[in-house]
Amino acid sequence: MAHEYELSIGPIHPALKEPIMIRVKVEGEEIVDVDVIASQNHRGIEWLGMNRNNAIQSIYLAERVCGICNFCHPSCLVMAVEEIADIEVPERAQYIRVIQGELERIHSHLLWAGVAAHELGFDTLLHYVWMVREKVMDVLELVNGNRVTKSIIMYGGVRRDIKEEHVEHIRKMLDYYRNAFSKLAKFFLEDKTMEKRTREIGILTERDAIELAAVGPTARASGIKKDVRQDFPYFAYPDFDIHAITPDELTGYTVGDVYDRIVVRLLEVKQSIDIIEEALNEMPSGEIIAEKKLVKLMAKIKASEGEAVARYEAPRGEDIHYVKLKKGFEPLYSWKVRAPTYINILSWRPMLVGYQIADIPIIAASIDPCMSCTNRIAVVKDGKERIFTSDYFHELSVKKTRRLMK
Amino acid sequence: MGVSGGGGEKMNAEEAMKKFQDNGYEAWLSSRNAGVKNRVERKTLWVKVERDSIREAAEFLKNMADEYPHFSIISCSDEGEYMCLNYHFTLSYARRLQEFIVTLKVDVPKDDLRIDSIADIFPAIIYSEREIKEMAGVEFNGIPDDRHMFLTKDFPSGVYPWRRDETAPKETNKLYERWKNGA
Amino acid sequence: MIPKAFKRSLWVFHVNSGSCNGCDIEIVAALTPRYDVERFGIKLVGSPRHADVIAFTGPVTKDMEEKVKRVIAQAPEPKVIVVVGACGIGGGVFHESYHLSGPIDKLIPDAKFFYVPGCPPRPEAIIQAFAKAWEYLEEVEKK
Repeated sequence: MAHEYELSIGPIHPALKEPIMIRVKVEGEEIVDVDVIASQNHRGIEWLGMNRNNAIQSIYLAERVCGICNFCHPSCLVMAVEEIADIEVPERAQYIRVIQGELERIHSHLLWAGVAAHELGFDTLLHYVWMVREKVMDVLELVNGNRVTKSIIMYGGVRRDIKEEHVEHIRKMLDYYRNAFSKLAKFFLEDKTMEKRTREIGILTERDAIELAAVGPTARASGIKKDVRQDFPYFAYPDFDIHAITPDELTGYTVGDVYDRIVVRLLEVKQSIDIIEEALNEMPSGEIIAEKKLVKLMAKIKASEGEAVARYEAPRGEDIHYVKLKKGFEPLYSWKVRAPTYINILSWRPMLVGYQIADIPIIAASIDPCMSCTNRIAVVKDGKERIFTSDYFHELSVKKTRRLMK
Repeated sequence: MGVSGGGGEKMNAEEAMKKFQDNGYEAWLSSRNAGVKNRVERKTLWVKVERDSIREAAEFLKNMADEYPHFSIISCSDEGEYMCLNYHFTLSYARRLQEFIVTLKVDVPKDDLRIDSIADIFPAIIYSEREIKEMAGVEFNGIPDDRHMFLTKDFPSGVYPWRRDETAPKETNKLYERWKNGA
Repeated sequence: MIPKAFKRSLWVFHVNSGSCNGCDIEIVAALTPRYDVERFGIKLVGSPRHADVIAFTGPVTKDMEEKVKRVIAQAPEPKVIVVVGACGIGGGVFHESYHLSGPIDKLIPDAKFFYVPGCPPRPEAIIQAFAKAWEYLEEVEKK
């Protein structure tokens, strides 16, 4: 007789603004149903942003929606407010924003690659990738003064310039990544263990990806050529010839599995390197911010009225902010943040159903929800709850890898 | 109706606006430029929809487009007498420079905060409807799943963080307040 | 950094109570080759029952209050908590939110706390806090 069990993954799970608890129904080893509970990390950021003293303070709040993509959320907010207040951004600032965005993409994708390797029990690769990642962190620190949260963007421009002495370091970093790329591609795409654990696992069909509105690398790995930088460009992106990357560029065909998501992210690192190179060559000179005096800027935002939607291609997918300003009202009147994981977690269901418990870590991690942190797992059986740690799941995953290698 | 991609030009924002207007909807465009050397215009189409006809409008949007509309999010804004819900979609995606945003604007009066769910037309909308329900207090008729999305199960009822009236949260973090007062 | 050899390795359990992930990735950065705390024997473990020290991030959201208390109750005595990041110390940018129960030192009054301010703090600062916690544990053991 088949027994149905319920597994709860989480709740200590800090994806963007919502750490998630996944409740998985299993029959034997097979997953039959998936439910997501997402209240653990709710900090009420939209409410806080709508009740701060002024719109500038909300930028710093937007940065803390997610510590990993801390450039995309403030960018999105800033773009929406600039549209309402009709602030024209200087040309140089638009290029600096592009470079900052792509630096962030490199660090985020490498971070994810390390986590994915860890979920498969390939810790050597985790350590190697994170060592490689430190190079971009050094550049971020050099340019911005901080490793993670950068506080670089401001309404009407950026707060710090990329100086001549920085350019040299950035170019050195690009060369370093060009060399490291072939090695990374070899580890991730040619390794037998990696292929066995990721090929034909967690498939998301093109149909499902479209109906569930998947975004970013998750959608592109299923063959949808969708990229905000290409379709609905912002900043200086129209100047660059950007195309949405799908896995068939490298492998010749699209499956929509975990392997394809790795391919897309690796190719995007390469794309980011090229974009930064081009941006450094083409960067115009001039001002970096439209209005230097914050008091004047605040007065301008206070006098504006209207609503706008801004979209940004974050490392994890499309980020979208809706902002409404009212005349004489200093903070944001209405603000809605939609992080990419918010919509991508819907895709977990078709990805997970039909696969094994040992595949949960890598499939869940494949949409890049930052599964790196502590998960706690409870198995509910006859109303009694037994609590396991994430290590238990991780161990299952590692065991499966070993079994496949025999 | 193709799933995605496909050859040739896709519908642009003006054509979509015309289609909505021909069907009796009030629709208007807003635009914003991007790029430095290559200036391009990015367009947003706003469509006013009556509360009772949200299902027809959603069906209309789904049928008129070349591809499956990409649902983004429902945002909401407190306008005093009513709550304004904005259903954000994008059309003509997966094409360089062709994508545009379609926003359906619906006013829901505060004395009767209910609207039909469209989760059966666009399955991806379900999380957003659950979120609006708990954050703004709007009931969705026929919503397949009405549990809390982001707030805890024991969050006080009648408190809606996204409202700007007396139902907005007044009691903030108690421990923090105690700490602030030096206790 | 540490004057003399320690008797045993320091095992750390990481609890995230609703932080933005900035501190969490810096904790992982401290583990990986650039900073490499594992060379001192500091290691992340998968269960609070095995942990000497708890690395704590986040401002404690309402939903996490009960879970955080349960996790910390499982940790052995003496309970030593290293609070990483500004939001764990006093709420940080989220301090007045309606969905918070923190900060953690008000919820768990009987533990020994070490604070690492910063948003997020640098890995060096995080390592220093663990070294301090370690020294404290050695002192407790001597008594």
